[in-house]
Amino acid sequence: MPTEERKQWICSTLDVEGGERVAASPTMPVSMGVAAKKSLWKPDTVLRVRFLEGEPALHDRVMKAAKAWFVDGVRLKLTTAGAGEQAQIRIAFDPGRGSWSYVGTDSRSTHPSQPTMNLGWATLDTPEHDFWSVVIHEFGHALGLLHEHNHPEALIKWNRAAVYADLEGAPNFWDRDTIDRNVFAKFELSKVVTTDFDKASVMIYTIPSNWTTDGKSFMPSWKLSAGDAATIRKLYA
Amino acid sequence: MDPWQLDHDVVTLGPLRLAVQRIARRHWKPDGTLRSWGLAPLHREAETLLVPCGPDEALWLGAWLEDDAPGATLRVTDFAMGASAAAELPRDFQLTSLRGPGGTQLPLSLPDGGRRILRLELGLDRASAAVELVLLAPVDWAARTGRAAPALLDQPPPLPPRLG
Repeated sequence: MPTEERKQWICSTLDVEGGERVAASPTMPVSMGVAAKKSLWKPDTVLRVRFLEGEPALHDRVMKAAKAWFVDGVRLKLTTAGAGEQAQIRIAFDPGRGSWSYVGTDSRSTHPSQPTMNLGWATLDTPEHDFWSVVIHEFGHALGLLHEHNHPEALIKWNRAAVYADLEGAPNFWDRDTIDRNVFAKFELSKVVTTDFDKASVMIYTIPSNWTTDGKSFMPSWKLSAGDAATIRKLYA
Repeated sequence: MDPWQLDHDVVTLGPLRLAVQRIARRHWKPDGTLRSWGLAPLHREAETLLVPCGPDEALWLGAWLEDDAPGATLRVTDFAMGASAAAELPRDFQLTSLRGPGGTQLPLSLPDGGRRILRLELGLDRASAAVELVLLAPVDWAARTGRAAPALLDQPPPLPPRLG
């Protein structure tokens, strides 16, 4: 399926109390790997995943996609936890709540019975590229990665008025603060780990061309890019 | 030094940014938010900005503030039609119509070709600028600027991504 025909989506990561973002200024488009320093797992951590709902075949499909992050050299392990067992990553499939994830160890701030990730558009019927795209993206957050467009040195020429006009309406109905926080805000350089430009990253935001003043557009890859692999190795190898 | 600049197709005055947005005339409405179908190209001649506007399209002005600027004002006047409108940032980010005699809301359009002259006033705490915004038929704009006019508007851009 051609990339442009894939379902468009954007997840919104959740900020924990004390998280900080600073105002952005648009410049030129660029994409870099970016991760939250304070939210990274310790090397050799075994990450346990518990599914709060869904059938086993769906769980298997999620785990297969998620393991794309565990490339050679990454000192983390991913395993499934049984019902009632403790797990750092707890996944729900609520179709009414979109797709989102806590960032890395921020998930520890949630109650053990609550999800740390929602895969609202991931079903057994979801086309392969859509499914992998959203699962890998959300697991990127679970491993501590952030959205590319929030990179401290991201150089995106935002047409902010167009973004406001689109996101204030259907299907999102976001208020201005939510748009500012999720789209335009920047992380402080001192609080993130970055790698080089990688416009093919699975972590890049979907940005239609009418959202930029230079007509450039971005769509997340459906699979791990070479840059994503380099980023995860930098963090955990 | 000019108080305002044209950075590609975006007007800048300090932290204030203003871009002219295009939409099909049939999708224009006097109230409510308008989507942007794309940016209108701008061409500067001294204190005048030339913008193409096809017979089947309407324009709207999108404005925003960079950094943590406290606020800005935007005012547009069409002296020939006795119509005007104002916006206050950051509360407003778009100005989509002018209020004419009797309170009628009028689109920023050029249905019969020719040209239409608007006075655009930008205001910040410590800076202000007045710009003449001239709407031209695309063929006239292209002849005057030596640039290709944008393609006719065909259909809206895809719906925005669904957010989590």
